[in-house]
This record gives sequence, C-alpha cells and structure tokens, in this order.
Amino acid sequence: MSTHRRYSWWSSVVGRARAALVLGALALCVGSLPVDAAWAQGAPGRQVPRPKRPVVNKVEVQLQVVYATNEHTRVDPKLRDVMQSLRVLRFSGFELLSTERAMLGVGQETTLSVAGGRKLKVQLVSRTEEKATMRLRMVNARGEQRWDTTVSVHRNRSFVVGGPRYRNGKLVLPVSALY
Amino acid sequence: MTSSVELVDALRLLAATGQGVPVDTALLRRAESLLSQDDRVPQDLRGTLAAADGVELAHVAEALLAVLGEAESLGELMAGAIRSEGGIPELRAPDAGWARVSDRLAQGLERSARAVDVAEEVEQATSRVPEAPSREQIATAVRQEAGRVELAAAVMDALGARSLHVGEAVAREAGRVELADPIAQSLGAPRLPVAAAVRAEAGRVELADAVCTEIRLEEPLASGARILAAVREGSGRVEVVEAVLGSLQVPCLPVAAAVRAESGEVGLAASVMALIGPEWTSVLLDNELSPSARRLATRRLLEQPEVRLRLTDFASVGRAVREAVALHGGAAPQLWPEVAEAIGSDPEALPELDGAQVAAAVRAEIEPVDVSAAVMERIRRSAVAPVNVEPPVSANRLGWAGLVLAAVALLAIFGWPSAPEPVAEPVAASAEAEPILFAHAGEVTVDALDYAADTNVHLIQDEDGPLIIWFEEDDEGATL
Repeated sequence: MSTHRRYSWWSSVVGRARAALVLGALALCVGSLPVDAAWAQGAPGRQVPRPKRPVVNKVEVQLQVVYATNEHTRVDPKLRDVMQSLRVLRFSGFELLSTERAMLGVGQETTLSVAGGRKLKVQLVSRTEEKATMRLRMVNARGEQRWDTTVSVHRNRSFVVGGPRYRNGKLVLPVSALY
Repeated sequence: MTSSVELVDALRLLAATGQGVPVDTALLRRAESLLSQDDRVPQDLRGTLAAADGVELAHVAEALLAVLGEAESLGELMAGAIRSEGGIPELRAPDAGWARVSDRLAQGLERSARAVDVAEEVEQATSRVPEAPSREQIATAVRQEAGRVELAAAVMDALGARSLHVGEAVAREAGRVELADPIAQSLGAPRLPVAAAVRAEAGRVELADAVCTEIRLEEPLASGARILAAVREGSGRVEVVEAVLGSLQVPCLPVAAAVRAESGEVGLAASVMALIGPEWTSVLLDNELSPSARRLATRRLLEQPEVRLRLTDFASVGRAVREAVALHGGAAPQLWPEVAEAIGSDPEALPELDGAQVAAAVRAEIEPVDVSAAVMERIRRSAVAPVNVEPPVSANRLGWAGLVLAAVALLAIFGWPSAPEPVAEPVAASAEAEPILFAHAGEVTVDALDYAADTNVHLIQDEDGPLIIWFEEDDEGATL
C-alpha cells in the first residue's frame, strides 16, 4: 500500500534490551528535537474503581466486534452498558458478534479476527503505569491493509474504531487496554 | 150543575174518545137525554148521538160542541172537512230532527271562533240526516268561512322573551348549521367574520366551530397559539394553519421565519469556509475531494482544533436536520437503487447529478414539512463537543525521523536483533469479557494515523462520549 505512511515501525524493536541502550543513547541525540506536548498528553483521568489486575508488564487487549445497523432496533443485552456511548453513531440496532482478547507484552503483536474475513493486527507499543500505546492495523479479506493508527489510552479504558461495511450496516469495534 | 153545562162536559168526554176506547154507556145515555131536551140544538140533530158509534161518535160529539159554541177550534175533523170541501192540499207535518241539526250547527259555529276545525262537529251533527251533505263539502265550506290562521305569531307570542333562542332551537332540531346564520341575521344578531373566514379556509364546519369556541372563551384574536392549536386539532394538517391565521389577520409568529433564516446552512457554512478555506470544506464532507486534497484537508483539521470544532458544529447541524426530517417524515426508503434501475444506471455507481436540480425535483414532489422547530430544539439540546484529539504535528514527526536515523546508525554498530518476534499470550476463551469503560477527553490520544486512499477518516468525541475513529471506506470491494 504505497500511499501509507508508517510512523512507528520503530516500535517493533523497542521491546528489546538492546533497544534500551539505543534509546538511552538517543536521549542525548534527540532531546533537543521539538516534541508536541500533546503527544504526551496524559491528564489525570477519573478514578473509577475497577477490578484489580496484576501488573506484570503486560496488557490485555480486548476487542469487541459489534454489528451496527438500521435494519432493526434490537440491541444485544450484552451491550447494555455501552449503549449510551454508542448511540452517538445513530444506528438503531446493535449486535455483539464476538469478543477477542490477547495478552500482550511491549513489542508483542497479535492478530484478532473481525467479521467479514477481516483481521485486526494489534501491537503493544508501550506501557506505563498510566497508559498503554497500541498500534492497530486493519486488513481486509483480500489481505490489503486499510488503515493504520496508533492510539494511547489510559489503563483500563476503551476507545472505538469503526466504519467497515458488514451486511447492511457497519462494524463498530470497541478496543480496551486492560491491566 | 145546569143541564146545558152538563151536556157540554159530556160531549167533550165523548169527543176525546178514540178508536178502540170503550164508550161510557151511562155517559152516552145521559148525553142523549140532555141533548133531546136542549132547545139550542136543532130537532134534526137531537137524535144523532144515538145513531153513531166508535170514532164517528167522537166526531159527532165535537160537531155538537161546535154547534153549541163550546169548541175552541174547528179541530182536525173540521179542518179536514174544510180542506176537502175547499180543495186545499193537506199540509206536511214538521220533522223534529231538523231542530236538533239546527242546534248543533249553531253550537259548532260558535266554537269555530276558538277552534279551527268544526267540520267534525258538523259531521257528527248531521250524520243522522240522510240528506246531509258530504264531509268534504262541509269541511270546505267551513274552511272558506274560517280563513287562514296565523300560527307563527301565536307561537312567537307564546315563546315571549325566549325568542332569541329560536335560532339555536331550530338549528339543533334541523341538524344543519346553514339555518343558523339566516335566523341569526333575521334576529339582528351580528355576524362573526371570524367564523366565515375560518369556514372559507378550512372548509370544515367542525374546524370553524372549534376555532370559534376557542375565540369566544379566550381573548379574541390575541391568543394566536390557542387558535393555531385548535386549527391543528381540527384539521390535522399543518398547511392549513398559516392560511387560517392569515384570514384571521393574526400575524404569524416570527419564530419560525427566524429559525428558518438562522438554520439555513449558508451562514454556518460561510463561517467554516472562512476558517478552513472554501476549496474543500463541503466537498470534504461529501467525499468528493481527490486523495491528495483530502489528505491536505485532514492534516489541516488535525492541526487546527478550532476548525475541527466548527466542522463538528456543521456536522451536528446536518445530523440534527436529518433526524428532524426523519422524525417528521419517517424513515426514508432506499430510493436510489430503484431509480438507478429505472433510468438504466448502475445502482452502485455515483451518478453525476446536479444536487440542486434533484433537490428541487424532490421539493416539487413532496409537501413542505416544517422542521425548523424540531431542528432548533435538538440543536439547543445537543451540545456540540470539541474533538479532543491532538494532531500528530509535523514537528513531532521530525522527532521520530531523527530517532529512526539514530537507531539505524546504532543498529549498524550492534547488529539486528536475532531473537524471534514476540508472540502474544493467548487468553482463555472462556474468560468473561471485561466491562467497557470508555476513555473521556484527556484519557486518549491518536498518535499516528494512516489510511488507504479511498478511505475517509472522522474523529468523533463528544464531551462525555468515547473517542471514535471512524473509517468511511468508499470502495472496499464487495460488501462483506
């Protein structure tokens, strides 16, 4: 896919011990480079009690595959807790097709199945006590990469990617970083 | 008693003797004795009593009384003898029934002064008279004599002061409203131009009544909203409202016009275009930009938060308009596939149509729908939230580039790692899904974003909603 830009392929090696030395050396080299504070945005989030998870330098990535349509008005009871947030998408019917999960260490990658023969490649780029950074790549049934994004999200929080066509509606994919 | 007096009494008794009545023989012998000795009676007539009997004896006794000068009249016998001798015909005796007929006629005619129909009375009175005229003849004659009776005056007099309610009573009884106006007019009641105007516009009596009732009960013409509500309730059609209000000379509320003026897309679009440039604002939302232009536009959006806010406003208005239209007009059917098939076009292909012409054609086909109020209501309710996604600015990208270059240089020193790629640990399939807690603004950032040329990206995040990265794919191949 020649039109794609790849910003963060470096993340594939940052998990290695040797890379730590590299990063240490680079700190002196690139310390003067302008870095937008927004990239490191990390305002304190809400303190919402969640199940305590052991922190073992890994992140459990959870992907829910939701089929959204206007063909009916049924809402899967399993989505009851998130419907208030998904209503902004202006679909009338929501169905939870599957839930995929994988435990990732920094630099590890996994491929999760999405409806319609698609695959979502998920790589844990980094992890701190506060947030995790994940790279997500969507590949269609023909093996073509459709999009590539890197998102930093606070621990035990979720965000949504969506838009792929499926049946007579769209796929909505809540992604969570749990640790 | 003298013999002459005794003779007259005896003769009167004998004259009263009828046919079949036994004759008192002693009285007869005494009458013969006295008659033979009475000098006032000629000698030829003194033996007539002895020679007669029965009825003839009574007639002889009456004739002797007449001779003696003691008879009051000549009597029927004498009258008959006279009519017989003089050639005079016998007189017909009068009928007592005719006297009763006369009396009944007099009584009935007297009552006719107070009651109209006397024919029945006359008929009853004359029913026993064979020669009486027929009922119809009598009734006709009576009516000719009685003349016409003025009922209306009598009824109105009886109603007295309640005459003003005649119109209502007549209308109620007749069941037709049309009678009310001429009656009210004849009574001198003022006509209500409001009702006429409403009837003229609405064409339905029920509607006019509802409006008039509303007007009478409330302050006339001042409560436009109440009139409007009544008209809507009666007609159920929005189009009638303005016509009715116009006929009532009630100024339409300027709110609708103001909303229409304000909700038009021109003002908002102009402000957005002034901020981010007119060359791609609308075409960006319509997915009509070339791939290179779309990337440029997306980058500008990422770099300028205020532009994203305005574009979010713009999109919110459009969404509210669509929702309001759907709310009032119902869900729109999928029209294009059938239209495309009808005109021989590919339903999957986007035709090069003039949007203005299509819109004009659609407007010409459908009835106008006033959605302004609903739109403004939704817009006011829906806070337009900023997109709290920070852009990956170019300076940062330069930082990554420097990092990469340095890493390449160091890798040349230390060599490429030989360890295998890290593999994710599987999670037990039976584990329950964790509850979803969406990150709010400030809890999530998009660090990098890349996508295929035929894909549009929308970053959506309301104030309290989740971050949504929406990839709108123009052509992903077959719909999966």
